[in-house]
Amino acid sequence: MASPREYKNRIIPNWCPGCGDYGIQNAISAICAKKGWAFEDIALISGIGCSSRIGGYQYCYGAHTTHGRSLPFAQGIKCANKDMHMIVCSGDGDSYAIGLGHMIHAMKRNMDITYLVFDNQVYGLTKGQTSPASSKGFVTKTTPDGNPETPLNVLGMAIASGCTFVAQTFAIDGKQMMDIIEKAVDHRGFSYVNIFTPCVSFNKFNTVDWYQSHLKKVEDLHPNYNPADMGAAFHLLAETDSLVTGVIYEEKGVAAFDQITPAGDRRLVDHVEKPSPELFEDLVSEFR
Amino acid sequence: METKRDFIWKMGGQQGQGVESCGEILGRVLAQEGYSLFSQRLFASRIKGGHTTIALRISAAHRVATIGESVDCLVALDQETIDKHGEEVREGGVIIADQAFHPKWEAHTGRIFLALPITEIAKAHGSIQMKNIAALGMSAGILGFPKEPFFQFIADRFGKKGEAVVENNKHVFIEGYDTAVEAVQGSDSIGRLAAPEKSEQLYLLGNEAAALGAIAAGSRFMASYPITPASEIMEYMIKVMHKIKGTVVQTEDELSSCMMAMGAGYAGVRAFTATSGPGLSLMAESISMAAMAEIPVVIIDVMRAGPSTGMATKVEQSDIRYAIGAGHGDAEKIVLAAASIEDCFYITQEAFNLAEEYQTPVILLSDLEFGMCKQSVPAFDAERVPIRRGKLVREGLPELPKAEYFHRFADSEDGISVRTIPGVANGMFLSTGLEHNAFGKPAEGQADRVTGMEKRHRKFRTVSKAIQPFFVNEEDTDADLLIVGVTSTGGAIDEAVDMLKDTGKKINHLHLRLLSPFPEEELRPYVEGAKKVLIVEENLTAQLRELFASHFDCHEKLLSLLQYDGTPFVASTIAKKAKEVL
Ligand SMILES: Cc1ncc(C[n+]2csc(CCOP(=O)(O)OP(=O)(O)O)c2C)c(N)n1
Ligand code: SF4
Ligand SMILES: [Mg+2]
Repeated sequence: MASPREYKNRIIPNWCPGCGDYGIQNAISAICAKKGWAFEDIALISGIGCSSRIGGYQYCYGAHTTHGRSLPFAQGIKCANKDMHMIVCSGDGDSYAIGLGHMIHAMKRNMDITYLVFDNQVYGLTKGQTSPASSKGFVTKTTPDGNPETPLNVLGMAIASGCTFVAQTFAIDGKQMMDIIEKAVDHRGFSYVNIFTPCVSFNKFNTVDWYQSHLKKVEDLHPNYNPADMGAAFHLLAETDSLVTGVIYEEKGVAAFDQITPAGDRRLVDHVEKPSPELFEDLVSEFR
Repeated sequence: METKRDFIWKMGGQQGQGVESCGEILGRVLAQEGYSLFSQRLFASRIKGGHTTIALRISAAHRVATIGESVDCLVALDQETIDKHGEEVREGGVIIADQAFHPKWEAHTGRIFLALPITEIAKAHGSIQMKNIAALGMSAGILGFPKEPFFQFIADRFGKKGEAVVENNKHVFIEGYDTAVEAVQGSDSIGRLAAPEKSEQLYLLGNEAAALGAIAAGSRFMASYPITPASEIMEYMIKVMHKIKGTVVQTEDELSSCMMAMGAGYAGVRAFTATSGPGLSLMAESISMAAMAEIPVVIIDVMRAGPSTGMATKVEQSDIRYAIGAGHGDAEKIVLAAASIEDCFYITQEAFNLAEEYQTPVILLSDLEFGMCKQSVPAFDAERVPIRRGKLVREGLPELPKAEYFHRFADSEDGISVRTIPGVANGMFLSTGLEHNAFGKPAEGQADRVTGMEKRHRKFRTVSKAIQPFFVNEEDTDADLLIVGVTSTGGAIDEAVDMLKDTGKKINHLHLRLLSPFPEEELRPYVEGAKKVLIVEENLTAQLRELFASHFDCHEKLLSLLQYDGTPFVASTIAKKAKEVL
């Protein structure tokens, strides 16, 4: 059995010291180790951003794609090889700005993919512009007078989009984060976790202290919370202004995409082959 | 009685009147009888109630690849058909119009105009819905085809609906047939087609041929977004997916379809998408990544008139320049062009082979005339193009030292590296659109950069040897005139060459299949051996000629024939231009 360390490669991340993304990397590595997955059976796919650099840091098949398009790429892989363990990592800009259309449709499509958004509420890689997740009033290079817009209600949007697993956690709370990522990975269908992660260089507003004083755990607020209750989930988000961590919503038993495609149980990657003469004849007969 | 080379039949009416199905039955029956056919649907972009026509060119002697120029028999279910298309009927041709709409015909001499009881026959022997069957009967009668093959077809087609429906349709057909024959009695201006030899042929759309090509190439994954005139490719794939047991995803947009196909290609299936100009525009960023990360993917672009939304239901060959350039940076790729509807089947398979052998995006150009026209073609040989996957390795790799990666992008003499796919033990690598080293680690040093760029560039050197880069009528490279075309102009060019036979000049026709990398070496003898080269293309800015001019110095002999009014070339236009320049 490989240790969590072995699921990281030897490339030294170019993240700033103190960046929350290190913690998320540790949690992902720990879950991979806990699951005992073979390195070659994991595909870690990311977009573009500081967060998305992780696509090049894990010891597995990693693909660091284009800005906002990690989900379409990952869904293609899953369709080709349903046995791959799929982890997609993205940032708040990557997901909620340029990639938002894909996110909603990936949720609706419900492939067996775990989607982790490293949400630092700012654009890190491009050095500090506002993001769709930035708090109202937040001063950035592109909102010098403070962000005049309200952040997107991403968790609510996910539930409304048919996402069958919606959770939120905090990169500094390793224990809860690992617990939630494991649940996400175990979920059959599309699982989505928004992970608040401090950007120490460009977000001096949503600091570790800020998160610690604002985030509430769902079990502390509602000991008998039932994540299967969609109404309760929306209520919880409204009541906390989405500053709540835990599994917000989970719908079990929804058919995952691979259960409804004609490919069925077949791993398509094993069937790159000519159609049999009988099949081909059957296909062309309508044109005779 | 005159024996003709071919017939052109056309029918028009409002969408929903069964115009299309009438053309479909006529075409299907005649194709089964062994006639060579080409059919073209024309319709407004409007969905309901718009005017629509279907035309069919029928030959017993030679393979037809265009719709031709003068109509022998026009069937009108509305006045618009007469007003718009009456003039297309040749001298001696017949116009049949439904009495029911009180057709008006400004008596032009030389054509036979018949107002016949189409609606009435349908009502009397079946129902008003059978109008098209009455018209079908009339058409078959006028053109002098026997009735029996149509009976068989009617039985097959309506059998599910019960004996009574079959019988009614048969009656309507017979009434229509006999009525028309009686109406033209005494006139032999239409002529007869000799019955052809029966042969193994398929009658299908270029889009269907391309989809079948993908299946024959072993592709079981498509991601696409609907767009005219490419949608039928996805629709056909979805229709047969339960048989071939693969997956088609209708994505949220073309950004997604291209990336999803790339993800699947990276993961080791043969994946493709199909689109038209607007969609290709959206795919450009992904194509650039596929070039950088050496990901195989096939993108079929069924070209239509641009720019922008342009004319969605009109043909053009105006994505040539864009396809070659698509993707920022030095994003090299392979660009192919289907040379005929039949070739849509074979070249699609080549596209998948090249994508994997060269680990690259391949854009395959088709166009609206191919995509949405049906032609009868020789039955396909699914084994002719074998599956070639290049340097793909799925097992037996030596164990990787701890924590190390497989050198998926290792430099090599031909520029092509050994490729592995997710799931393969000891084959792990990193995939990225960033400049990278041999195992995919981002690398911005000058040495890695230059090595990577040159490796990715070098691999394209041999492409023109891996596929037949063009079709040419005569092997002899000497010619008074070489006519060059791409995608659907081939049929009209061949007919033009035929028309020019009596000029006594040596005229050759070369049709391109490989546009990028440009097969300069293979083309040179033909370009140099011709006194003049006439480059025929449906766009305003001479995109294909520009390509030739950037590779050959003899600019003064590279002549251009352009058309950009949305209609396909007809042979006489090309023949006329050829005579001018000869
Ligand atoms: C098409 C395109 N547009 C813009 C960029 C520039 N860009 C790179 S990362 C980024 C924002 C990333 O923000 P986020 O997803 O929040 O990631 P973070 O760096 O904060 O982790 C932008 C705009 C790009 N790479 N591609
Ligand atoms: S800029 Fe922010 S998000 Fe990027 S590495 Fe530094 S701290 Fe992390
Ligand atoms: Mg961010």
